Amino acid sequence: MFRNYLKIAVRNLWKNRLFTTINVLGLAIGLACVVVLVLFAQKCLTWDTQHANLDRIYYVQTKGDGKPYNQTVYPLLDQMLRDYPEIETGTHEQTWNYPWIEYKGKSIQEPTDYVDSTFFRVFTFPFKYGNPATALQNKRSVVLSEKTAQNLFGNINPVGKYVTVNDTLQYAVTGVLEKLPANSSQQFEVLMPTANLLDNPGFRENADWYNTFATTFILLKDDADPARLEAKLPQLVKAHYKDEAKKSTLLLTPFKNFIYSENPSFQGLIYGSVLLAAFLLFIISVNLINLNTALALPRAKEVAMRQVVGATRRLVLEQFWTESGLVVMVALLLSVLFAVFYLVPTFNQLRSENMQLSIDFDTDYPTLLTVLSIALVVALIAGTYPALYLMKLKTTDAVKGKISASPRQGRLRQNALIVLQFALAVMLILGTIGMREQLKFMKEANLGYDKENVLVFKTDLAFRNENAALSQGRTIFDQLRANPNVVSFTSTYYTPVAYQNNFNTYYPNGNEKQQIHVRHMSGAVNYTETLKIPMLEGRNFSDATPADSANNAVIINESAMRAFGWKTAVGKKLRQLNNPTIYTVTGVTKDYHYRDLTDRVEPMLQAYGGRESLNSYLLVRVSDRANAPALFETLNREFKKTPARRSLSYTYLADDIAKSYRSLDNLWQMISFVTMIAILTACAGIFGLVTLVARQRTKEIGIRKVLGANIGDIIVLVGSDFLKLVGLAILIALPVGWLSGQKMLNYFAYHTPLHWWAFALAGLVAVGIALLTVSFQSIRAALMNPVKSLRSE
Amino acid sequence: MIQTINLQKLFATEEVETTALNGINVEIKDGEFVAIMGPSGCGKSTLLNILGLLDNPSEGEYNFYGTPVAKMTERQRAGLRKGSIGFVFQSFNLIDELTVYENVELPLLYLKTPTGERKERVEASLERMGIMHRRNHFPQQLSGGQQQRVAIARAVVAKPRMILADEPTGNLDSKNGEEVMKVLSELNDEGTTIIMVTHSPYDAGFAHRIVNLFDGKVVTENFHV
Repeated sequence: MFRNYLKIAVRNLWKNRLFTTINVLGLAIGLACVVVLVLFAQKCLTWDTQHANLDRIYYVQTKGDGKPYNQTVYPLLDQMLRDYPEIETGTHEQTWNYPWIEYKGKSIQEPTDYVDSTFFRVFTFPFKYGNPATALQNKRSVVLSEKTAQNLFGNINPVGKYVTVNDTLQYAVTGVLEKLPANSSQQFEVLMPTANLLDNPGFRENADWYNTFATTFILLKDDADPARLEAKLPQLVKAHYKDEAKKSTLLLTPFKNFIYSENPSFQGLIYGSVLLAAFLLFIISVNLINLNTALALPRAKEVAMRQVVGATRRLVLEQFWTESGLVVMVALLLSVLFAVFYLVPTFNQLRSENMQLSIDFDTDYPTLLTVLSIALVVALIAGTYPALYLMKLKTTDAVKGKISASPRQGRLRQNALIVLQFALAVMLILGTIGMREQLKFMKEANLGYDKENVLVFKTDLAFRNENAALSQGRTIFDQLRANPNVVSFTSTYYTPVAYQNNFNTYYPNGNEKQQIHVRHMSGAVNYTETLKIPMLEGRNFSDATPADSANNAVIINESAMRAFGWKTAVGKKLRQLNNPTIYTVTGVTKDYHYRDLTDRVEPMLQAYGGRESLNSYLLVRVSDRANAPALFETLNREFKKTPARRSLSYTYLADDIAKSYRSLDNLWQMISFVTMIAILTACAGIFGLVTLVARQRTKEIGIRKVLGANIGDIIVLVGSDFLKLVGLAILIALPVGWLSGQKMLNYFAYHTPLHWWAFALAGLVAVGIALLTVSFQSIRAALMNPVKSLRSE
Repeated sequence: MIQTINLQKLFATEEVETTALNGINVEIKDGEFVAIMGPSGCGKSTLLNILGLLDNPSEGEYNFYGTPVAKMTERQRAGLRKGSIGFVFQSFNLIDELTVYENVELPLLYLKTPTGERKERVEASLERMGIMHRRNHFPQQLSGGQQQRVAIARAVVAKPRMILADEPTGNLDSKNGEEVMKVLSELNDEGTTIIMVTHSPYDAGFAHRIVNLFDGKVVTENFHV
């Protein structure tokens, strides 16, 4: 029997090739999105679940005046371990610096975490080589990730081999980890014992009972009560914390919640993706039902005849289930291929590092089985509805091919769905246009300086000997000054795309009440000149003016001048809170965008950073971009004379600025992709319904044609109802789109207005697409020979 | 006058080719009432569809009031058909979603007849068929005879030169069938050309001439006086 079903199913699907293709492709794209969303949700829900002791792992949060944060003072962990026997063990996990690791002439620098020897007793990270129990017991030991080990040693087992750290110390490789799960909060390449940190004077200075920068994890004993332990912590604060920090409250929080406090939007992401998957499933199911019903209509006679010759309800249902099952299974197969080879890589490209997705059939089979069962349910529903509908028809009519009855009861649901689908599509189209305009606006905006013809050399080359490097650096600077192609240059810690938020509080000397929170930047000689930032008054820093150093010269921007309430600023004195130094304003720049356009230009102060030195970046303005390669060759040759670990590289500032919008570009691409999916599903939905209507009205179309209707009349007849619905969708979507568009754009301090044409375009695109979809079927209906449609009687 | 010369119609599928009409020569004068008879599958309806400009012949010529139409596109045929031919079908072919009035009005809408004139003509047509009192009903609320009268009202509302009727009494009882035939005769008396496909010798008796088809060919022509 099943073979018979299958045979008929294949023949029927082949007969309706076009619809089968649309059905399968629409479903495949929809299901692929569902696969990715479910996978994403599953990865999120199983975040950090690889740890065997997950239920007993807690981390300590500090709460001051505001929200609690995930850091504590460094000595806390040792004190807790001493005071509270209910704690089995604990570990820090610190980032401090990324040391250079060398093996047989190959040097690498990778994200490094400093952890205690008990780290692997608290957390579970499977080892590829080595023993977790002993791996970090020795101070001079290092555990590598699979990737880093591969990078440094190739395919051998490196346990027992020695690497040189920062050119001086020998560390034994004691372990290589298996690949870290993508959904682990902790992602690192190198682990070293915290004992090494205490050798660092800078670290020792900060590791007191005041500075809150350490991450403290504890593993409770099986029978320990975290609430009771937490209740004891105020006593510890009182006994040990410095007076200024005694107001702090310590909280014990389950490690399960770590990801939620690190990423406040995480829960929203999970709910969002599950909801989106459910919504998508609902839409593709309804679309499938509609298209299947449309395809089933001409089979009323077949179903009736089957019933006449003795087919039971179940047998008819089985036939329809086989067909929809076949479609759904092919679609599912395609969707997994589409997801594996396109969606997941694209998604990963657009996502940040720690949200990477992967499909691993060994471990992800529960998710894939879930999707498979969802698909089977969809197939079941999509087969049942048309079969039941056909079986409801009067057999005597159906045998004669009379199918005047239309499934009217679903009309409202269908209409609401079309409106919903199109409203969503219009809003997304609007979002895509808005976002694109904003990106264009930001990329083309006047930044208040001249970004063209500026080369950015990365001169932070991890020198083995800073003094030797600086000496060679000075030679290089002199060469640059003599180079006729170089207009100006500056050696700086910052560029407009590598700007670090750093604030300080300043006040006019003698007026402590007028404290202003100012962005603070270490100012470099010739920075304003090289970037051609216009000066409102005064002058740039100069090494030729010894007074700059003696006077503690600062340059402020226009906003800062206004904030201090000054009309002119050169010569005015400033002081920093809790600092006796008196600064002198030597220049005022016009406001310029010291970073991208997301934020408003705020008061900014550049403090003279001392004589020209070899800093992180060398910005060089050249007379002509064509000179860049030759200049790079020269500089590269000179920098090779320095004791550098890295080699010199350069970019163009204008390119860097364009690239700095990459995350927004990615977001735009994501929105565009979602928009495309929304449009496709909306089209698939309307296509199915138009087909249904065209088939239900075949006879009427024939009569009208005989009576003189032309193709236009028929298109209007079949399509006008749908276009009205699309019109309604646009009416709903535009105001909602306007509001959400405003909200989106307000996120940017400087933004383009929402142009009227964006709304017109979004509406036109929706109407155009709907018209195209509707016309296709309407024209088919209109071109049908009326003799044939009337013969269907 | 309409005239066909050596009209042929082939229906071809991948495997078989069927000759529905094979060298049909007929001439129908203005104001004639012609019945086409023959066994099932002899090509009656195919001939009627071609005469009614719903379909093209595969070969041969067809002069429709002096215009050669055999090679016309569907669009051109539709233009010529509009207003000059009325159709009456065995199964009435009324549109279920439209009222009696709206069904009859349809051909005039497609002819872009002005509203006032349209109303006048629809009402006159309904009056004439005696179904004015049913103008706001839907087809399924009417008896078969009444439905066929609506169909005839719709066929004549545009004042066509010719009415093509495909077994107009096939779905009616004898009383209603008789009435429909009387209406067709009256229309013919007023000058409308009528071509009717029928199985019923009784109905054929209303015609001036009977064309008998067999296997796609005209076998005999009988004239009534």
